[in-house]
Amino acid sequence: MKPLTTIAIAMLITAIATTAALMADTLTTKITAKTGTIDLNLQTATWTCGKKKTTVTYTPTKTGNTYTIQINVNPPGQSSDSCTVYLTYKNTGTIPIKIHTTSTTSSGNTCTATPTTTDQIHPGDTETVNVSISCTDTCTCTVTSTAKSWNQ
Amino acid sequence: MKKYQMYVFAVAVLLVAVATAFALWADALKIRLEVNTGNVDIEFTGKPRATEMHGTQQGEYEGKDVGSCTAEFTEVQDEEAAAAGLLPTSWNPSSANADKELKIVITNAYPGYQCKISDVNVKNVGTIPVKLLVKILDKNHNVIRPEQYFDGFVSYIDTDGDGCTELDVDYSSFFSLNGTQLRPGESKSFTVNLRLPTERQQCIAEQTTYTFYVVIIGYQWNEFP
Repeated sequence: MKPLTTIAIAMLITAIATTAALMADTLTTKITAKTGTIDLNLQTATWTCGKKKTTVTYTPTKTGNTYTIQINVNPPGQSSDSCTVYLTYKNTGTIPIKIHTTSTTSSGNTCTATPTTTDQIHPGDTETVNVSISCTDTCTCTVTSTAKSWNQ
Repeated sequence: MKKYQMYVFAVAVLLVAVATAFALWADALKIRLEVNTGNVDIEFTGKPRATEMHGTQQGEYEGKDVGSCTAEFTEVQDEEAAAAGLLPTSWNPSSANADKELKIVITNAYPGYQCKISDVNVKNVGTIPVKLLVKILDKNHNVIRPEQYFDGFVSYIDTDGDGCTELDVDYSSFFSLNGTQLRPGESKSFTVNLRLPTERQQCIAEQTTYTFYVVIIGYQWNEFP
């Protein structure tokens, strides 16, 4: 009986040892991705008109990466005039951008922005969008410029 | 006097008999049992190399130098906590603390940015064979279940838990380690291929940090779950 008891004890010890040996080891890879920023800032707005007495006013509104600029052109004496407004934007983000611009105005007038998509603008650089407006009497041109990543 | 001598002789005989019996019994206790367990231990080896990519080409799109990507072996402070929830409580991840971890940092990333980490191996430096299991965890150490496409070769993961998948992990790269058995001294190389997918740009916020973990668990080979 005693050898059998010894064998039983040995088996028990082996079982305990096997349980304790259920080991594991772990390796961890920590990955952190920080995104950059897309941003633009309207630096200046200048204009030239056919008539010296034509007045031009503008109201910029910024929402996210989009500028909406209302440009009012008021030729003298309810006459007609053509103006070109120069909108200069600066890339104030951290990655290159392209600025996409659209424009609208009331019927009977014209309002055209060029280029509709700029070349790449690197962080810190500036680019100018030209807006050609032809008005009879007073008119309003709404220009919307949105910055997008250069690769989109 | 003769009677006394007979008593002495009888006692002596009795002592010899008892001693002999005791010796037999004591001899039975001389069976010695010694169990020496091995150890499960894996570690990263190699010299991790970070390569910016666009598609299958090296470098950023149009040769730009906008984002950056680095990879190094270092001590990650909370790596034990990240992996702790993955192991049954009865198991013993005894050697985890001594390991250097792989740390990958991408900065100034944008939709379309891609980085590939290569020249990294997992080596079995223990004494018994191990099998490997790979899990992805978010920053709160919850397991992330990737979306899988193209037979599992591409997957999108949501690391910030907003229900929108903002990172693309090449599922075939390090997940090829899953189920791999390494004998003592053996190693297996793998890559980590990451991309901020333009097709998921609506999920990628500006000026945001996305953090997640890839945990490689080495189990003793005969207990692989």
